[in-house]
Amino acid sequence: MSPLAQILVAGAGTYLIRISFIALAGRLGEIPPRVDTMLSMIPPAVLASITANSLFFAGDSWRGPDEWHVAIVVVALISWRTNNVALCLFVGMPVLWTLAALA
Amino acid sequence: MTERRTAMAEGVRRIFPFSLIAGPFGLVYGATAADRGIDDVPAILASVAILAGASQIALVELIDEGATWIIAVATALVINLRFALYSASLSPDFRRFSPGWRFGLGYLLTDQTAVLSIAEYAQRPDPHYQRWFTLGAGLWFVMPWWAGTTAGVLLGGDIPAEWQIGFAVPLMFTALLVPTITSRPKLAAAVVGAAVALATASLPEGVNIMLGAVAGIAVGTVLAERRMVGP
Repeated sequence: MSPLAQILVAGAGTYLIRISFIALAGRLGEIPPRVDTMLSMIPPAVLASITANSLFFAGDSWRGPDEWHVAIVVVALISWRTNNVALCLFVGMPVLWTLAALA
Repeated sequence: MTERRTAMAEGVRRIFPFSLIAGPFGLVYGATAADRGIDDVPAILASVAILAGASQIALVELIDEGATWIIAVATALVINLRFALYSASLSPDFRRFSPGWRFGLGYLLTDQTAVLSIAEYAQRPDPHYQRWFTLGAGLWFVMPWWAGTTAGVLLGGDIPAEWQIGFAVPLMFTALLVPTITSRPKLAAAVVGAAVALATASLPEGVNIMLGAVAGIAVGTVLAERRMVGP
């Protein structure tokens, strides 16, 4: 299969995943409280899994403790204390560069 | 009309800091695709058709390494399975939208647009406001992603290694994650999700993230239902 065809199939599949539950939505009845609770757990659980994976794996290999981890702790503390997502994103890279320069 | 504009503007405002990172990250993907010998048009089309960076990078690497198409496509789709969870989370609100809005906005659900929408919908239940918010955020985010991809493919991105642009990934996800932790059960969901994703990291990329997510959701739900821990 050509690269273009593989890209298009992956695109179609990704779209179907994105609309999976949305497409069913019209047929669902009232959402039970337990399901509502489960749905509310999705963002923290998914985002923490992705974050941990990206912090500790570089390609296929384990990434030991380094300035990335210190920088993420700093960024997370800033975000938690200030509730300011933009600030946290803007300072992220400079914090990392500063730590890398000091190391 | 003004209401619509207010909702879109709020979506743009909330996604704006993330959109600044989407450009450079698109550049990284585009340069990777070009470097891996993917033709310009398919490489750029991937950012329109797939619209999910990590899976696109995995896909072009596998194509270059000569993997069979089933392995290449399946790997990309497993990495993208998390979108089914966002889909579930948004479905109670999306069902109040017309089919056109549902299937149109569904396309725009990147991690960033989906997570910001989930948070906003909890505060603003008006469907009219909700759909324009998501449209504004979604469109604002994809444009730099496409521009960055195109630049990376055409110019080849010699991004200096000391910039450590790869750090943009955990940075973006941390910025999304922290505001979602609004109760102890949610904190538990995050801690368990991270721990399980790392413990199962020897499994293919995407599988460990889904296992972490499911474990985190389960523990968070049990804790929230027992109400053993306060909010």
